[in-house]
Amino acid sequence: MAAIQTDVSPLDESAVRSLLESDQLVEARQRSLARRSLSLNTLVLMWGLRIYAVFMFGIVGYQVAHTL
Amino acid sequence: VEVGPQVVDQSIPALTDEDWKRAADRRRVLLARMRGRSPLLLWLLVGPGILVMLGENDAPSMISYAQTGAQYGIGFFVPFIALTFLMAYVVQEMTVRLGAVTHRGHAEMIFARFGPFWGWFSLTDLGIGNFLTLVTEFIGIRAGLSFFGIPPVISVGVSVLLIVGATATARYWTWERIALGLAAFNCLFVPAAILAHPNWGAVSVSFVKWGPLPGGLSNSVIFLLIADIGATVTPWMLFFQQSAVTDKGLTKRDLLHGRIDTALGAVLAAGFAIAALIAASVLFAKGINTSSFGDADFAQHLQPIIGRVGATLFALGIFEAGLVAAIAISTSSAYAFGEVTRKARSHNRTLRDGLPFHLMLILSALGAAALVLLPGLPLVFFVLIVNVVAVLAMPPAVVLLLLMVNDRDVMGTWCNGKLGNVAAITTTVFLVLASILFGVTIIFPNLFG
Repeated sequence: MAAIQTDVSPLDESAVRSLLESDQLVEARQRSLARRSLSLNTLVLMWGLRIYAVFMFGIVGYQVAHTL
Repeated sequence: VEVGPQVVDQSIPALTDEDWKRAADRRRVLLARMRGRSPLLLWLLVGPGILVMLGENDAPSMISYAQTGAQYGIGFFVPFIALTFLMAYVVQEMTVRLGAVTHRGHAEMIFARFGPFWGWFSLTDLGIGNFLTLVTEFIGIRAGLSFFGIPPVISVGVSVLLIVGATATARYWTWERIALGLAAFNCLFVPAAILAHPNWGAVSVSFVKWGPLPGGLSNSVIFLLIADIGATVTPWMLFFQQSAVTDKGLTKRDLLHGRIDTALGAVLAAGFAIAALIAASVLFAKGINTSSFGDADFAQHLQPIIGRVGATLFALGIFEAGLVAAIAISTSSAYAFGEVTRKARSHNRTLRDGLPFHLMLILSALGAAALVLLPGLPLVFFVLIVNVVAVLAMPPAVVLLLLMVNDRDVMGTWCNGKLGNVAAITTTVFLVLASILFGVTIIFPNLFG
């Protein structure tokens, strides 16, 4: 912790590593997280909302084209 | 001495310029915490929450609040606005937790945990919504400064330069403070409201009685209710705050301050939104029909009633609302772009190192600005359509958020608790129902008379 005793001292590499959590480092964030498995109920909910959104966007798009 | 190839330990990630800058910010936080300097700690840790809430008090939103005040006066909508910001807090707090625990942006998390199929759907919603909203922000910028006779090319051009200048600092902390400094001017609606000399008793009573609502529940009231909801919780806010929390470098230890930041933003934004409503409510009292008002018309019509100073504050407020939102929304697009393409996604990247990020931010702002300057474009139409798109895109976005914040594999003990889920699910159901109700009014415009 010596490197962080004063806020004007220049940081060194070990101080940077101690100040940031390991998964905060840019290179660590390049690693992908594993895909989660979705239950049937979740999939039905997501599909339902997606279909609703696409349908409504279609209606709005139609109204936009109709108005213009 | 024979020197072999350098052995690189793959288990220790190399440091980048972005890491060094973030670590410098984290050191200040650590020192403030160690020395027990609470006000300094708060000052260092606030930002994303206030920005997202005041950013959402954007030009179309403030016009929507003014329209509400001018059409229905002080009554039902005053407490309703406070309620919508309570909902915004519930939703946005989850993005703070996601960002601080996972250190990943919102788009990044969706792509990683749900796959590209659902990711691209979300990103398409965000891209369309962000671009349309950006256009409306520049309409607000143009309209706000037109009150002072400033030509659109100047007002829009200067605003783009400010956006470019802020991102060119290549430092998250500096960018955030510039944006916060500009966002502070959202308070201009408060003196404008005071100059309108409203009946403060009626304002207080409205919180108790939730009324009056002149004309009852009509189609236009439902439209305004939805517009006000759409003005408070929108998809870009989810993407922006989680990514900004990650970029700022907040950790689990900072969650209390992240929540205070978000709550402070919600309280300020609600107060300023109500102030815009109150300022314009004098038009209701005078019986002036504002149904065909554009962004610039409110300040002009308010001038004879609340005076030149009040109208000036209102016009400047609209300009500021557009500018701060344009800064936040263009950043939200750049974050999402960087996260999905797995390229630079931080304000801590230099212009050269983070070129795709900065370029995306600048090009999205430039594109929207250029569109606003095109002659003959139906600008009012853009303003009307943008809230519609935001409200319709919200249900899938908020459900994904809820699934992610309850994802024990990545959130661990920071998942929603029972009480948190009751609040989050209630808010989500309310938002989804509001969106569906709005959809019904689009298909059956005469349903509620």
